[in-house]
Amino acid sequence: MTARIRSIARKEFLHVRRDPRSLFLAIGQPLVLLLIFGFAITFDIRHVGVGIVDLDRTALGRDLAARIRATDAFDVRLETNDYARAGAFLDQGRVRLLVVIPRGFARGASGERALAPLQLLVDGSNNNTGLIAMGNMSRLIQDFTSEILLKRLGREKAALSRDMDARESAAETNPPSKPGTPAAAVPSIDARIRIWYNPELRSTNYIIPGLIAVIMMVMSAMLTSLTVAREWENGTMEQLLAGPFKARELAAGKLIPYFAIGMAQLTLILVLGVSVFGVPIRGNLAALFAIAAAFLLCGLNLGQLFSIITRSQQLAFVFSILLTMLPSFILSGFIFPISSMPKVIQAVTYLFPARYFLPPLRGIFLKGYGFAEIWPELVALAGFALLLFGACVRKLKGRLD
Amino acid sequence: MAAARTIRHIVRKEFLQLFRDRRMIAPLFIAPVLQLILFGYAATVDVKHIDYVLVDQSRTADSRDLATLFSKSGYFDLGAGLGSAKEAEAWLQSGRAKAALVIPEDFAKRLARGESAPVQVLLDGSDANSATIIQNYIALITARFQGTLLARAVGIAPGELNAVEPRIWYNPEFRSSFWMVPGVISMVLIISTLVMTAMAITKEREIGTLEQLIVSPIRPAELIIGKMIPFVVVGCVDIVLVLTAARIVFGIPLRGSLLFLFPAAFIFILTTLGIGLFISTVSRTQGQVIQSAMFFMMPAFLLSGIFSPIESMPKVIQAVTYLNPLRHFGRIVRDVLLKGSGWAILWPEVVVLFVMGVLIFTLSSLRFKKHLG
Repeated sequence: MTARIRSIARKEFLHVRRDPRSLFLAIGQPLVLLLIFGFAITFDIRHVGVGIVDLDRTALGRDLAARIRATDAFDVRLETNDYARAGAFLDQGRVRLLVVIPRGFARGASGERALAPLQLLVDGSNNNTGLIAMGNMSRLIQDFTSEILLKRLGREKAALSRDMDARESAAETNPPSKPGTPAAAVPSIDARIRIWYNPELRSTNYIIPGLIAVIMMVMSAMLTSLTVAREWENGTMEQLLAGPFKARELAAGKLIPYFAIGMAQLTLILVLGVSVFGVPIRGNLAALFAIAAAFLLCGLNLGQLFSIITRSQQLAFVFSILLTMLPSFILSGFIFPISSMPKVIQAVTYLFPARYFLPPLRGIFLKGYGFAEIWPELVALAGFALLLFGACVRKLKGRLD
Repeated sequence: MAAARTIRHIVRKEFLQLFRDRRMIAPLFIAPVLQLILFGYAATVDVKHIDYVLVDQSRTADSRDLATLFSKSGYFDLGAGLGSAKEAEAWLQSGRAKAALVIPEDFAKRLARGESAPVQVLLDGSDANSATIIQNYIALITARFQGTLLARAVGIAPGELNAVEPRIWYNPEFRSSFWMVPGVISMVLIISTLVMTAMAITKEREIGTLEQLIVSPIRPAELIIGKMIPFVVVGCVDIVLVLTAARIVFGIPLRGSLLFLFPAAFIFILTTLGIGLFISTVSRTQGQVIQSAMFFMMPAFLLSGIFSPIESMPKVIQAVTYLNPLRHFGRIVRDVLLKGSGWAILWPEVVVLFVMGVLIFTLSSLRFKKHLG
């Protein structure tokens, strides 16, 4: 039996070797993705285009504008006192946020205690950028108006000017929430945020584990989705069927070369992730390879299953994109947090292997997990892989008869 | 006239070939709608329902006020409950909680003395993206708390401090589907046009029927046009399907004109078909088509601005994104749907796409002809 599996595997290896370009792409693709993710993709919202509409035209408004200009959260692209022109900028997408300083803003500030409210116009079309930029801007304005209030208070009590200087320099550095030195009479809250596992919040530290999951799933399903279908389309399947192979030998033999490629991809990403991007692997390396192997087998079997069922490369490919690429991107928690999804969708995520791979993988990388923490997921993935392999064998048997 | 008839015959053949396998209907027409629904519901980057532990060592009115601000913010769930500092650490380690708020014993005392009162926040940084957002939330909440302290000191109502009146245009509820769905439309089009064309052509080469077409009196231009038309039709049907579903399922408005959107989509499809044709000329097998298509598609998706903001990318990469047809078409769809923009605002995008489309299509056609000759 093993000799027959070996001969199938050898034949499959030859296929791969005869097509060096595909092999090159299979290995090169992870590298390109790694570089894109490592260098280009950040989810930080910075340099958001802002327009300032100063209808008041006073020193106070200019102070606020200077404050906005000083942070790298915003790029001031327009300063005007023409409301209509600013609206057009928002329409054209040249700015995402308009700060409107109303007439009487400064007078309100020095006359009464409360200030005339500022108006923020936000382009909500990108919900994420819009929300975060709005939060940043509200906070900046709140800090600014608080200072004015404190100044007023200070003039009344004639005691705060020294503290204010300290406060102004502290406020330059903006978020996260540093109320700075409190004025003598005003107590303040000081949130000291300590971040575990990834103190600098480097996005590569969490993207690279996610990327491993995506690449392994997509590439593995894609690689095997073609194997059997190709043989059907070329008519060589009949020859294989005429051979002395059992269904499970055929299925196993066809997987072996792609398993090897998948593990090579994994090793490559690991080496690069650690050496170029300095991602730590704090947990057990053996556990990492074990769970990755189980996950890889899921992807490979899934691809082969599509291939056996559809007998068409086109169809098998599309199915594997739909059922592997999208879920491993969207439903795994890679980019979009699962806890924010609607309950129904959260339940759906349990149907896909990626869900069982990503959290333990991140744990191994950043939290120092070993077999003790990841065994439930490891068992689940191994079960998945076995189930899929069984389905492959059964379908193949059906085709053999 | 003769050319038109030839093209008509090829189109007919292509349609027959495409749908001879009834199962093709699923990937071409059902999958796009499925993708739309999945993306629209699941692809939300806003972080909600963060499980956090509250360690309240102060147990005073002030500390309860702060905790109330947390629970009322809508971002945090006290799912993990109250606990001791030790429990908080254990839950963070096991992933049961993503954040912990520790209010020390002397919190209220310090506030009463008019001092700075520290509280400690522990965050799980293994998901850096969520952690960044959570940090923002915490900053917002503490700023609000600071506001009440300030208002108390100055002697005004906290409401009067609220010196910002936000007004949100285009997507007032900040719904993520409004942002995602226009992006999905362009991704769906890429899969159903670019990949399918390239595979269809390469398949004919693999099984040898392309040679038969070559020795027939059909001219290469007729062959290309005839092969492309079915996919243009499929693409257009997909747009209609997805737009309708977006409307029904997510209530996404159509504020602009379809008379502008459809020609723009046609130009975009020209680009993707051109790329598909190009891929088919450099591939011998369908496997190679897939590899090459993925090689193009993954970066194109990721650098389109749909998933992560282009403004935050390095300048060099930002320049590269201008070459990405997805970036331009994504913007067109979005602005037409949400902002009601038209030619007056979006003409640069349309022109860029048009130039790109013509260039790629001509180049690939020439290559294709040479390939045949």
